Amino acid sequence: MNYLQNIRNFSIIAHIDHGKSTLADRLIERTGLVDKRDMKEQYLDNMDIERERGITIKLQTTRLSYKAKDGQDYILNLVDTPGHVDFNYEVSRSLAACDGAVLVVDATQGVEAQTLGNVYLALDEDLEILPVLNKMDLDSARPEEVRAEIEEVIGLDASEAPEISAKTGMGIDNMLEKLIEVIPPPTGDPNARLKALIFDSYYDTYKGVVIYTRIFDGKIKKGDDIKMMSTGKNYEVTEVGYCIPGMLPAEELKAGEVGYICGSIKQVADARVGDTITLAENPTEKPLKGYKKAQSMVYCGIFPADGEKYENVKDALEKLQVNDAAFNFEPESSAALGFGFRCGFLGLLHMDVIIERLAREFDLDVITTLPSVVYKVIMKDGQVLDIQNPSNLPSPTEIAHIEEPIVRADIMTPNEHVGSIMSLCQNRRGKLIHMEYMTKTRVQLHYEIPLNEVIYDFFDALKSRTRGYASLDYEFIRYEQSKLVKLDILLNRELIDALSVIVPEEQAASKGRGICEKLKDIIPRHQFEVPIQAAVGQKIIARETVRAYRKDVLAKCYGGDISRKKKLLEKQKAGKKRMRQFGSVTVPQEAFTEVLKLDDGK
Amino acid sequence: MMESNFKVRKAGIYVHIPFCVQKCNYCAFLSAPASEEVRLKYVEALLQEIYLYSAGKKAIEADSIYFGGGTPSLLTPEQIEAIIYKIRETFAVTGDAEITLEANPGTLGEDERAIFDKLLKLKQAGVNRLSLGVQSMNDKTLKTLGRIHSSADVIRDIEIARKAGFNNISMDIIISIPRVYTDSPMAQTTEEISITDIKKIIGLEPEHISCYSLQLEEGTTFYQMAEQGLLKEVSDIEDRSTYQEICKILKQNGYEHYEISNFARKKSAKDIDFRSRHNSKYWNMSDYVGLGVGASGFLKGRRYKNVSSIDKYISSILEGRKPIEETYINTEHDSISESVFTGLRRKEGIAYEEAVCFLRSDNPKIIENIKNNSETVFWQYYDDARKEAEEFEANGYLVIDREGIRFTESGIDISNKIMALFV
Repeated sequence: MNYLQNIRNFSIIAHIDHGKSTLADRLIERTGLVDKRDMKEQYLDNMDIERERGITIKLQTTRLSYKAKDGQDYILNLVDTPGHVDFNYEVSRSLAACDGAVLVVDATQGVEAQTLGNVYLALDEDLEILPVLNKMDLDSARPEEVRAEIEEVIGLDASEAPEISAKTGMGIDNMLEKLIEVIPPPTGDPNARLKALIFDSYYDTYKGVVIYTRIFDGKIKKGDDIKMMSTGKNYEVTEVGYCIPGMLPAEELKAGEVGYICGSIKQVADARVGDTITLAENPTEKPLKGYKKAQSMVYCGIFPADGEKYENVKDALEKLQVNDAAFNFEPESSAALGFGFRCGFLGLLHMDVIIERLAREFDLDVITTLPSVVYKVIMKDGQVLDIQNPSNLPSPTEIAHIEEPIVRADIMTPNEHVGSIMSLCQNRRGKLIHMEYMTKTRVQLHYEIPLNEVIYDFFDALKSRTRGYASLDYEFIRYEQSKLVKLDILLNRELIDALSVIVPEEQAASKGRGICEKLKDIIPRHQFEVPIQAAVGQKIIARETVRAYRKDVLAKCYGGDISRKKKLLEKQKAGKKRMRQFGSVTVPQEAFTEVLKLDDGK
Repeated sequence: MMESNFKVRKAGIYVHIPFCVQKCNYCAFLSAPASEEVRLKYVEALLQEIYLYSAGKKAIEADSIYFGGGTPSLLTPEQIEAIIYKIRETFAVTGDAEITLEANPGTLGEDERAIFDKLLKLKQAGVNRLSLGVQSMNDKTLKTLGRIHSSADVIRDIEIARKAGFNNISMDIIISIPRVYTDSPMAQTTEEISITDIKKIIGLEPEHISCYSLQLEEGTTFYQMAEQGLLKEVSDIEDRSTYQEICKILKQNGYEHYEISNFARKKSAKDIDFRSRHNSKYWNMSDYVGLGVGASGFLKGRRYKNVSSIDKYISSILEGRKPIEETYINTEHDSISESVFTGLRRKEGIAYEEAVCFLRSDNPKIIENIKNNSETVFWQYYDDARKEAEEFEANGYLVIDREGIRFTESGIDISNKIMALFV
């Protein structure tokens, strides 16, 4: 019998928190390739940050073996997918490596916006989808309703969807049987010319870049010369094998299989997700479809904090980049913050993760500036500039117009929150395109909204307005002309370039006021008055003053309790270390990121 | 062990009496109403605690005893006498020791006769300084504070105290007392009330005055009221203006502003120094023994704090153990920074020598060198703070000279900021 019949390549797709990683854990445990005592919680989430946040950013893939009730042994290749909107492209490429997907729906929560987003991605790749109801061990599970919701909202037959609890292991065997039945075996010709899809890669200190691949046609083995079809670069294969999830070297990988390839590749950017690998000597003619270059949507400045070395930050960023093809950076300098880097990210979460890793893995103290999108500035002389740093915006007199990126935002929410979401989106210059009732109580809102409005604190605002019930999925659609101006901030009459932001002209005054008020709260009192001004061009549009301090005295030493007083003074001193000096004004480092977190309620 | 290389000063002895008639609305001190029986048990434990210090055979020489609280005047003169007696038995207390008792008006006796008797007995027991918790001379303000006395009680008590022979009396005043919103409006501003208060107090001619700004402390009634929005807090601007006005008035009336919150008459004809000898120990790194529940002590470079539960305090003593909850051995830096920030509270400020004397060395030549070059050594040690200190000087908050550093009047208002440079 054809070996392909006993292979199943699949992904698990789910909304955050619906239990994808827990299910993966159970599968790995059940199919016996990882010793139970080596099981960490959520095995596939191998970064600390991922485990803490309960989300998966980097992919992991693993090969499971399962003896089915029909007496046959099956190879199940579980291709994990990252669980966040920022990584849609990566998700789509891992899905492309599969023939089917297990759709995990939380039986207590039902269908969410991201569930939908991922289902559409899976359908785009022609995958068979097996819906599964998770968290059935909870009293609040409502399987019948959720079944109906899946059918109604997604259009999948959920009548036979297995009921499981990834936490307790309940129903897992049944689910595996169903998986073998529903998800088709891979197709492909091992004797054809090599066509292998890169769906992930990471850098290993000893082996160089390790590529995760799905072979569609042909075979690959150690010693082969391979060619990356997007770059045309050739490499010699030094090792191939399976992921169990550790690396298990093998003779060869052939059509239909999932595994890894090493080839002394120096950085992950040379083994870009979505690219097709073929043999240099006998290449295939056409690459697999769907390759896209990584495109940074969000930028921010990263600067060494006081006492931190520029070189250390640079080293760390380089190390991160080796492993993350979607992250890029270049040196920049700011009058206020000195030498640093302008960094590009797929989205906000991607940015948060990188910044957190700098602190956590590299123990670096950095200042990050406000995130910015990329503006297309059309100059009067016809030139088009990409501006991702507000302080680089040319003088208004030279600019014909500015275009900003617009995203399509799909928000799913219980119907009682529709009103407050609409007012939020309206405040953020969103245009309602369409609104649909998915079920009687669940609504999906489709907005077109400038990305610039989404990147500050849109998630937080959405969460707080809906008590966490709304979910968001967004995707870049186009650039659109918009009336935008640069808002500058002056402290003690000195322009602080790192605080400049690009805002819609009609919001300049209110944003300027908001920022000044916020800074007034953030900046501590000085020995003198500190004026805070917001300006557009030469025109001051808002002003606040941090008064000179009047009083900072604690009268008593309680009956000789010197320690109490000392703790107080030590705390005061420690607070000062997180400050940044601008001329004679001291600004806490958080000012650069906090300043635009304006409460929409105000 | 962290002892200063040069000066050896006599120690002070602090005795905490954690009882009061009723808890005041602003009070965060360890104090609560208690039955006579509890007070009796407590005094017994206290005597026993003192005994636990007797192993050193009067190794500690002391020239002050201070009964703080709470309301120590709730104890009987006999109890106070027993405690003083025991202290004299255990420590080498000098003949001229300053022995202070905090006394609250309204707690000294039912009528004039009883008050006189009690004060006379206290005098005979050895108490030679009274610290009266006056707080305000405005009856309405006293009520807001939750005090049990009236301004008339204060006037009566000080007169009787004089008759009983007390010639060293201190009075506490609290400024910047918040208004309670539900109160009927007062004709005077908070500042005006405080100015009237201080003038009335000056009229009573105490030898010493302590003036504190009210601070909202967690766990107090005021704090809760503030959280519920029932209090109108006094602005920093008004607080500082009141404080400065009070300093001015006291100066005009012959009081020396010798510490941030403390004022004393010039030395008397008999050459009694009316500065608080005991409190000065907290500001010049002298040793002090802390006795009683929650009391803090500082002995031979060690800071310690007694347990703050009366039950634990008593049971520890019954087991023959000192009721110490925490001990901390000062590092060199601890002692230097403490000497600076406590010393800065004084009018004289901190002399470089007083700080650098805590630098350690086994080499007598180095010690000598430190002593002779204390200014240079000090600023080498505080190299990181120097620039900012000089900015404070340039802005008129600090005086830096060849001997040491001290606050100007406006420097006092922001003293924490400056002190934080040196911790």
